[in-house]
Amino acid sequence: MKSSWNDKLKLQRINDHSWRIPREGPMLTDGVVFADDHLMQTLRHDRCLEQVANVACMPGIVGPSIGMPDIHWGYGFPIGGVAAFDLDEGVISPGGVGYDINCGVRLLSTRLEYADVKERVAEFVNLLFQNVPSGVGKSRKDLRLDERHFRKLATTGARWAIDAGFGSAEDLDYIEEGGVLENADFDLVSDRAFARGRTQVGTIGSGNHFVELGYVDEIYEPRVAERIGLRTGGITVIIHTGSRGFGYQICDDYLRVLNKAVSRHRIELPDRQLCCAPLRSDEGRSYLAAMSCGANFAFANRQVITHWVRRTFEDAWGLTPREHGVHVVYDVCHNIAKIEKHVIDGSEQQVCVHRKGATRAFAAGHPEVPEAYRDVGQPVLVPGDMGRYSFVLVGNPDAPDFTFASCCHGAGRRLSRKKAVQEVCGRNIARELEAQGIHIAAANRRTIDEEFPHAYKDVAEVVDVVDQAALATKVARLRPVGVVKG
Amino acid sequence: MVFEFVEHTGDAAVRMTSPDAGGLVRDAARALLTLYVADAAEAVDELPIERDLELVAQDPEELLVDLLGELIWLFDCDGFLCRDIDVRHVSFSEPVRLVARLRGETYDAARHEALTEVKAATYHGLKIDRTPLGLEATIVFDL
Repeated sequence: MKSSWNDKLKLQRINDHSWRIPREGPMLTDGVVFADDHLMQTLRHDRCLEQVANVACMPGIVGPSIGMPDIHWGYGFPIGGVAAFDLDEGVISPGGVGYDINCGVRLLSTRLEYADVKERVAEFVNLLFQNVPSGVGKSRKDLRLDERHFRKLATTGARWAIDAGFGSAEDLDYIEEGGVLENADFDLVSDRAFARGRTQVGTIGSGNHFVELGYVDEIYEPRVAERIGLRTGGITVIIHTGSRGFGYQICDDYLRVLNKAVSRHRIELPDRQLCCAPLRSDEGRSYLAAMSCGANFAFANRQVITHWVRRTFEDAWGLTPREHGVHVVYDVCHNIAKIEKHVIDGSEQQVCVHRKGATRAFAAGHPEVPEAYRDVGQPVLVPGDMGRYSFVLVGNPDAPDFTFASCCHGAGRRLSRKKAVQEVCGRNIARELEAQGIHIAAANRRTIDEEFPHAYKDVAEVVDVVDQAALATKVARLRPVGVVKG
Repeated sequence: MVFEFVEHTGDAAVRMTSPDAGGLVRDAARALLTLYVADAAEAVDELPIERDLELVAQDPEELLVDLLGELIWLFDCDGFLCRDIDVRHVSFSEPVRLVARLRGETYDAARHEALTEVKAATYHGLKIDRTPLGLEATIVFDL
């Protein structure tokens, strides 16, 4: 759906790494997009800028509608979009969160050195592929939850996993929100969502989700890296997955509810997919409480997978927990709406921040940064593609106030899946990656083709803009050596 | 009945053209099957599972999204692969309604080459148009 006012958006350069879409027509505020000249060339051909302007039309928006450097077209909101809403006048929108509620990234550090295990990566990856179900219809036969346990999972998140024996209580200290959104209400989740999610705990799914074995190959901020447990050559694991079918169904269910709420609350929107409800309305509150169940599933999911990663280190390489020393560096959400306190125009205010394909990035000193990291800032995890690298950053105290302490979440696709498969045409990507020292285990070859490294933009370019714009500070770069894909 | 996958950077978009509403319904289901398994185009002699379905919607677009949502849910929960839809009644004008029998089989990793999961069928840009060739619609699946 396209309206005439945003046919030709004005785009004004603010500086080398940010652009303004000035308020006009039904927009209630400006749009601000973080990109350098090169990234902006790509964005101009994508309808995501129009989506930034559309989000700026939503009632009760506080500050600008924001686009991160990895922004691309999404449903309603762009992916890489951030928008905050006033709790009294503002709205909440499933389109501002996405289908995969609390899709996110967890980084694990270990006591192991890449140099010591280099020759044994395949053993680890092949066993990990068996231990952590990935791909279509895969699940652990030994993890089927009845409604009572599932309710506990949906309301207590990663805490449920710890209580069920998947990890240690210390892990919770290094998860955004301690691994649980407290306002979750399972009675507001449909039976269909429960039925869809009950067998999927501890699974990766397909598409761009993965578990990746890697190592730290470059450190930019030695003091910070040391504090968060990263050292050059140290083995790491990245887990990227979310709330699986449970979250997708919650989103689908509430899109219906909120589509009706739009007319009931007489909200005018430029795009049907921005459907939303006032945060103070029954529909808005219900969505937030149901969405929180989805978020808790995702926290629990990544916790259960962490447990099986630990087991894989033990079984594949014959290590004791003390020897591998797997430690949760941090776990961040990148598809979420949360009530947070931020300083706006000099005074503290509670707002509902939507981050869709965007990561929270609190700076040093913020009370929600784990105590152990309080003087360096919250780790921000930005995965790249499976052939190049991923980055670890921390929140920057000089980040502009209007970003609500937010950062990018990844590289973003360069090619569609269809084009990626065409471009690969006859090449054996798994073998090519193996030659580079990256062992892949995937449910099918087509996934590897669709996800081949150059289907994605270079995440380094995205992260450089983030660093220059002071959204977050680059700490370390990680190289993949083994990847499990769905 | 014609459907084809069209360019879409993030997910999968399928354009369908059909002389009638029943054809569009069958095309939408077939497009979803094509995302799920590699052998979607092959004829299967025996479809051991049948499920009756009745949907009522506000408009034809909602009917298509609801149908696909149901098929996605059935696949995720029961591994049900819908290979054919016997459309008993379909109306794209008030009251918008579909009565159908779904025919299919249970997904079996040993027999089927699975391709991808599907999160949802979306409303993005979805509009059913009348053209000289019949009904046309493009639906975007979130993968």
